[in-house]
Amino acid sequence: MNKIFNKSLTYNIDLFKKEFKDDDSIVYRLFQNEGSKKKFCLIYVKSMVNDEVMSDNIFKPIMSADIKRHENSTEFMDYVVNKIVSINEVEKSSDFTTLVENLYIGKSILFIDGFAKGAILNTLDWSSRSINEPISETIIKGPREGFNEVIYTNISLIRRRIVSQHLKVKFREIGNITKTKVCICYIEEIAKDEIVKEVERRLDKIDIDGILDTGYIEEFITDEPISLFKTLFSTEKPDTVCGKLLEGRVAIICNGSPSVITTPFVFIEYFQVDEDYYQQYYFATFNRMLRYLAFFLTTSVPAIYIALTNYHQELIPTPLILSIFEARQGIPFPSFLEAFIMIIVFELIRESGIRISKYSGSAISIVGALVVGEAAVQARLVSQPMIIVIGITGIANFLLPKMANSTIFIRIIFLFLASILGLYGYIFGVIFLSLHLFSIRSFGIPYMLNVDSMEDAINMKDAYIRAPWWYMDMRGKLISKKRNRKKNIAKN
Amino acid sequence: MRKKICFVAVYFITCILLVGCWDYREIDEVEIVLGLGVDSHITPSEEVDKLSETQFLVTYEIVGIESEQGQLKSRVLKDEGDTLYRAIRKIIEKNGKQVYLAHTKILIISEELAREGITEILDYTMRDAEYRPDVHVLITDNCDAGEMFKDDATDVASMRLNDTLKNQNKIGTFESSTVWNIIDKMTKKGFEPAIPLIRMDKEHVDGNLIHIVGGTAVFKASKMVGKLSEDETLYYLFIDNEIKNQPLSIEYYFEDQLGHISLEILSNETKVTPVVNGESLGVNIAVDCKVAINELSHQIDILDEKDRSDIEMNAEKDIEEGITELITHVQKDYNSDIFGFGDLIKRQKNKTWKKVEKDWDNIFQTLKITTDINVQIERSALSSHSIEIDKY
Repeated sequence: MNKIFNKSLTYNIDLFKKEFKDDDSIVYRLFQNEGSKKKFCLIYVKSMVNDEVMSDNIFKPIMSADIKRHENSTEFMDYVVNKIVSINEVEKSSDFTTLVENLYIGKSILFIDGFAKGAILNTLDWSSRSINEPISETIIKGPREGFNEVIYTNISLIRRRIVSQHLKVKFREIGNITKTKVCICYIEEIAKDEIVKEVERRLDKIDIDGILDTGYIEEFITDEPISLFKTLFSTEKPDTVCGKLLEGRVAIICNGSPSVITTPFVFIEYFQVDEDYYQQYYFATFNRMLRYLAFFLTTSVPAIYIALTNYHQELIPTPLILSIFEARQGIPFPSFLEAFIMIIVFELIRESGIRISKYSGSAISIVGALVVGEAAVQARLVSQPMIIVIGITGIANFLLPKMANSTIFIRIIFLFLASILGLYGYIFGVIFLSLHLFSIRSFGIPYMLNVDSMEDAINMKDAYIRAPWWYMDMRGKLISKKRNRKKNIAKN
Repeated sequence: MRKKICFVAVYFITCILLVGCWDYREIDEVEIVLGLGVDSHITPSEEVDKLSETQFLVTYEIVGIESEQGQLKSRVLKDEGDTLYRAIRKIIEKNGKQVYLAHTKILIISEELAREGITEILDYTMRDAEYRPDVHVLITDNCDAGEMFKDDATDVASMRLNDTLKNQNKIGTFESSTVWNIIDKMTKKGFEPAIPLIRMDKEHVDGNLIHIVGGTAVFKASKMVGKLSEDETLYYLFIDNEIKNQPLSIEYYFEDQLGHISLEILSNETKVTPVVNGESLGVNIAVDCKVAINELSHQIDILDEKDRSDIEMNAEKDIEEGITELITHVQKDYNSDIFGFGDLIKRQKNKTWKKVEKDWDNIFQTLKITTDINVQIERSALSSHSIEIDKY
């Protein structure tokens, strides 16, 4: 039942007090003008408001103003709001719910004795994290700004880079309790309408209590919820998001989360890092090749090692098989188990390294290197080749941080297949993986776009290699509406 | 969803049933064999009728690493059986582990056995899944195959032999042959296998007992019929067009003084063409050899046209004599077409071959050989002059 205000100030305040029973964070500040008897009350939530703004722009002017002439006029509230307080955003409302909502986001509500409505004053002061370099995506060359948790800051970071009226930002609220602000961001002239509409449709369908991070949204709107691979890209870097927007992708920003989703997301984007575009193209191409190699290494090395040593010993060159033979002497576990244990141990070390505080981090690496590396080999629990195999796998995994979660599972599945069927099993695994990757889509875009076909050769310039910018003059065929990068869209 | 799971299940079951490879074997559960020696072995038995039954005495060289120094060490094990396969499996009695033969590099067969025939051994190595067909085969020169792995060297004999055989194009005293190419030659009409010989010797330099690969065993079908010396083998290589970078040394008279010239063969091309002239059948061997002067024992002006062509002529004469003598020797004494002349005629003059095919054994012996040798000195290595010795 909605509560209705009347002209009595105490009655109005009591309405709030009843609503916020047992909530001590709400301040009811009663005050008076020095020349008049008129009573005012400012309601706000402690520590969500800017104290300086409050005293300088609300309390001081109202207390000291000469208001006697207008005191009894019916327009008095407008007079106060428009001529006395100096606040950039003012709104009046007699709706209780609206007032409460605004109160909670950090605005303050001014009641004046004799008026059955409240004025919403913008006294917002959200202390937010400053704009830092994101820890998860460090780069050597390129902008170091990262998004923070405030949606407006994040949008401003994008707006500063794309100065165009074509950049559209559409807000909505998701989360029945949290009422989280979420916005869709795209460049109208480049992004395809169908994709934008699809994103909006999927966002509107979300029905949940609360959204605390874009991760929630990701899971709701993804195409392949059970796939090991993501169909959405998430980043904390505004420059990366701008790059994606310029390619015709749609960004989803969520209040309270520093990571921003962009979609559609295709497989090769795992291998494209924003730094590729800030470096010389041949160097960037080399690095990209390394990433492709790392994908192969991190998923396949343990499986191939197990397959070769257990099923196809004749495929290993003689000197190599001799040293593996020597190293395997006296190891109690079958090599499949050995590999599996080592993968789990590696993941344990990695996960603990993330969860633990920075200061004990070095202890982890000492334990990892000495206990697992040295001592296990010395004690003949694990063979040296296995340490090397797992080491290569782990290091290669760090080249693809965005894919890390998927590769762990693929690695274990491949390993399992290889241990029961040898190289055949591994090949079956690869076939399965390819079938899966080629069958899924992200917002209507084939996931393996540009990997499989040379048909649209323009796109290949940014797939396996990073072609020089002057040569990469067209946008992707399926993703963007206007293809030519060089032509100014504003002039069309 | 259920459909998908069913599909995956069916896929996997099919895979598991159809995949032939179920040979799971931990690497440390096998013994890696690098070399195999086969001798014929007569069991000392009182029963007279069993004496004639041939048995195989198999010697293996098994590697394991001395981990402290990290140096390869090998063990030698022996076993016997009435078939090769039985002998190989019997090793479990002694060793506990099964032997793993896929990395076998060397197969040494004793001369005694080779003279009786090697079909059985080759058939086994070809049929067995573990062997690779590129195992090098060697025939012992009048000694036991099992003794070959017991030399004084510290490294693994099979590995060293493997290296030796791989470097045949640098020495010219043997031609390495593998299981597949022996079988290839054995099954072809007009082609007989030739396998390098190996023997154990006290080394001249430091008295160590060491094996030496050199010379060639000549086969007729699957039986060994004779040997070629190391010198003869070089000319065999010439005919077989296997000359790559072997040294060629010739004798030369420097103003009535006998001296040596060592030539390095830079490239060589031998073309063997069958010549049909009416009823007579012949083979022309054209050698086009480019050499560099490597050593001179006497002072000679190699920039001088006449002296150079003199050397060339001498070399040509040497090669020609070598080739002719070798072919005559093989024709007369062994009657084994190790040069593959018959196969050549079959490929190039098929009509003639059909006529002579049945009688090839006799015709080979009377085959006329003409040679056309051309040696050309191209370079003189790093110096254009000989060392000038002061004379008083």
